[in-house]
Amino acid sequence: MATQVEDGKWHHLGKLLGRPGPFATEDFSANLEEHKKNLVETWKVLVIGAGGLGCELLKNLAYSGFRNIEPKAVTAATFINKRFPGVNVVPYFGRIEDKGEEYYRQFKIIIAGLDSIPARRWINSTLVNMLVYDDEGNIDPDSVIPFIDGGTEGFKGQSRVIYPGFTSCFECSLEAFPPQVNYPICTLANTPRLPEHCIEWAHILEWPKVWKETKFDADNTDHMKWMFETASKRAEEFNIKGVTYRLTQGVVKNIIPAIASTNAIIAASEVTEALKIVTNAADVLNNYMMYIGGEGIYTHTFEYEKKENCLVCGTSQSVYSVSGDIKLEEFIEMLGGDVNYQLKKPSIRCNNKNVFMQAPKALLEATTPNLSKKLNELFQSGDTLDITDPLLSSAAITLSEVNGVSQVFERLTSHRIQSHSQGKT
Amino acid sequence: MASNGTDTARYDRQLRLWGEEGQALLEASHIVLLRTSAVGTETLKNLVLPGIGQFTVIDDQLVDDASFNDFFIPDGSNGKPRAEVTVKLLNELNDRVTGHALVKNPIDIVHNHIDTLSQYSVIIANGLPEETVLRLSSFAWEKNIPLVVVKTNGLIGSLRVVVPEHTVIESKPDNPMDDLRLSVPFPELSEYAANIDLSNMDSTQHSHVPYIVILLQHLNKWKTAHDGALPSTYAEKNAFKDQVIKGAHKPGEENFLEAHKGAYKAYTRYEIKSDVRAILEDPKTSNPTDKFWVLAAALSQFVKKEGKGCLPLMGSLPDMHSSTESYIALQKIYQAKAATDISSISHHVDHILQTRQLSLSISTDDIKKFSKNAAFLRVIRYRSIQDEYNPHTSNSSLIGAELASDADSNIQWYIALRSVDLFQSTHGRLPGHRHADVEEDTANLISLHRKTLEGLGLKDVAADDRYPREMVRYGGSELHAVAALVGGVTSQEIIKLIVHQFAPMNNTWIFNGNKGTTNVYAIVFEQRGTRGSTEIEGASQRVGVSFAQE
Repeated sequence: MATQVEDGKWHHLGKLLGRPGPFATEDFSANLEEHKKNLVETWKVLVIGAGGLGCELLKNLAYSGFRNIEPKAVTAATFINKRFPGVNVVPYFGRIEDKGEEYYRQFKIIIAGLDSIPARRWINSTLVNMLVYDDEGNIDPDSVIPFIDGGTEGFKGQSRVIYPGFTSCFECSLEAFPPQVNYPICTLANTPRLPEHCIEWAHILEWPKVWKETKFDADNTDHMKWMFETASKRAEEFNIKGVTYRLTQGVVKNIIPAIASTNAIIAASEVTEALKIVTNAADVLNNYMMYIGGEGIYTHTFEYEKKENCLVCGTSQSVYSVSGDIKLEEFIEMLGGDVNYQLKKPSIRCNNKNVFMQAPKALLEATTPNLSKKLNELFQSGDTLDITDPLLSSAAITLSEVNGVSQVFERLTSHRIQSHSQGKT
Repeated sequence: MASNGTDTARYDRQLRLWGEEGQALLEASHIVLLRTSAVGTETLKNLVLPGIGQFTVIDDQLVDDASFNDFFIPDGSNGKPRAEVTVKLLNELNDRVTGHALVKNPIDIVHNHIDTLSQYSVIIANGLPEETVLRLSSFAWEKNIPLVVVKTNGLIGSLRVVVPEHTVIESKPDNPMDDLRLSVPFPELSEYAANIDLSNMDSTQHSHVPYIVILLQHLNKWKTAHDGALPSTYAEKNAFKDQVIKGAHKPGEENFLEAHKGAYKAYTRYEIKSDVRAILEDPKTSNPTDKFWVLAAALSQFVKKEGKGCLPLMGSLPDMHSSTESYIALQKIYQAKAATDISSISHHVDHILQTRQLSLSISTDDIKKFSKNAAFLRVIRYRSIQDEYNPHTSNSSLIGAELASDADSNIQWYIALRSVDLFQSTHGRLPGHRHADVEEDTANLISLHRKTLEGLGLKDVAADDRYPREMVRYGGSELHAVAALVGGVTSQEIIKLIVHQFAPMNNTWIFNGNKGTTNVYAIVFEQRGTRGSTEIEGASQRVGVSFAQE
């Protein structure tokens, strides 16, 4: 079904894809028909994220020759299908976390424009865990699905290319996304100084006290009005200025400033890379581009290095020092607060025994008493802790040594990942 | 005043960046695009969405097969005027914005009816021949209208911004330094800190003394013991830090930890940054004619007189471990001093307006904003495209130095794009446009590329033929994703130019889609003083990447 849009598109792409050039990669074949056939018939792209970035990604992909696109955004899909007859945009439904490996295997490339860090960690770890190794421990190239990730905040953004197993992965750079800092409760309760302290006081402490079971809904104008008024009263009482309705909304909804232009820039960078990855028409971004547009136009393109002890794709052991005297619940809290781990709801197994399980309820109840036990009561030297967390498909921490009261934990090795994925495939 | 009826719910996420004042400027703007294409409509899209007032597309091209890389040209519009087709779809993005299509030849408009362009706030030029761009550039320069010239070709893009002078009050840097004045405390601050007696406090009170008070007291103590000098050597700084932390009642007292961590704020000498100093010394402060320069002149007088070498106090206090009472008390001291400074500047403003008999309306809010942002003021003077194309004023030494340090610098693409322009002027089409001409165009472009290098005064630089070869491969194609990226950057620069916040780049930006890199080059020297002067001030050149530090 040739449409004007469909035909017209190749006028431009045809030059890049149909002609050899000094900057094309060695693997490039200057054969437009071959690329066209692959783009139209074979290659399928998954787009994760339905916000400002996601919609731009979808448009750019459709206009860059990609034909078979599976996005999350239903409205945007309908819109693109209408604007661009002949493109095959079929939205998927449900959460990405509910889909299995078989689902992800069908894609040539996966491209994300998500605000959510947990969702990006999840898809990243899933793709790393899908790698298949041969007997010598080499990765089967066919099991590698390139993952392009991007994010924006105000005038800033970043775009990156992840080849699972080969480049740094999302988890390797987790420290670039530190967990949100919460105000200490004692500041909110006793010594507020900023308008934000008054707002968080109303939000975290006053709302549950006054409204009991009623859950706060930031989109309910009555709720928001109450929040603003309560914060204002608190501020007045402490002589603090600057509580406004907009600030109240910003704080309780954790609103990230966003503009169309930055989304456009990052989504376009991601799709430019996608096109080069599938066609070899030019070198691919190696592997991280940072964009800062507030002060001039500043970009920094660099190779974000693989973290050897990465929880997801690491190949060497790392040492995590912790006292054996601490309780399991404190250890779990440490895993949550550590910028390199940021695990939110880990379940821990050791030697095929449940040490602490978040679900199902019966297991949670059965293992809860362990939370108050000390680490050196629960583990032995050389033990491996298998950790599952909703954020990651799987991970493990090896407990390698007990040295008096201090214990040293080492993290998962590549062999561990191998046995995981080999077990599954 | 500025907020008259903007849609605060729709624009919430952007209002958090440029506020209602910036939004009002956007909504009052009218942007014109001369000759459309995907990069043109992608630029307009990102301006229509945040809500500019109006836009006009001037183009007499009809939609043809090659137009369908543009998202705003729907199927079935072959043969229709491109301007009308795209404006219709762009208009659908935001009902608060009005788009106009003018089906006329933009080249004819520039050469024969250029005065009709004086009504626009920003002019975007895309795909116009060199001589048309030059004519447009001198017109826009004369009328003081920002001109933005945007190009894409294959995986390469470029953006050139020209405006004689762009001033910014709120440049909103990412991590501004706190303005605490610990090394040069004003009397009210010194007095407040001196009157707090830490020795008679219980442990709760002691742990809630703001670290600013702790640092001021220890700095005083240090100065008394060191003939009034601040800690300056590495050893002295460490000794000072030790002195501070020893004041804690117990380890881990948070305010003392903050004082220890922030000790550098006490011994770092106060100074006015060089770019702000340049504004204070700018010849325009001796003869101000507009609002910005009257305020700058008043600021300059303040610094010499009441400020005793310092800028007006910003008046804001970062959060710190403290009791509410102490924090608010300290905040009031900073705010009161800021208010006093503002009122001093206000007097200078009145005096300047009176003696110079200027009828400018400068409100208290204007003065307040200027004072609070005094450390972040920016003045960018661009150079004209005429100067860029003149070998005597173009920045060939920058280009030469850049190539000497990195033969694969993105400046290569600037040269390659210039040679493509030369080809277009000579042959009336883009090199590599037709498959059949690739071989012949390659030979021609290689020779024009050498000519371009010579024209830039770079005879000694060995021409790298890969660049013209690759440009012929691209053949003037406009890849949608590249157009979207370059259009995104272009729209962002235009927003910064309109809202007069943040800082636009100066003056040429290159996107290299081969590697996913971009650079900003001052292709024409930024010179201080009169235009055309051959004297070059090293300090005012912005060479290479717009800012290199991380």
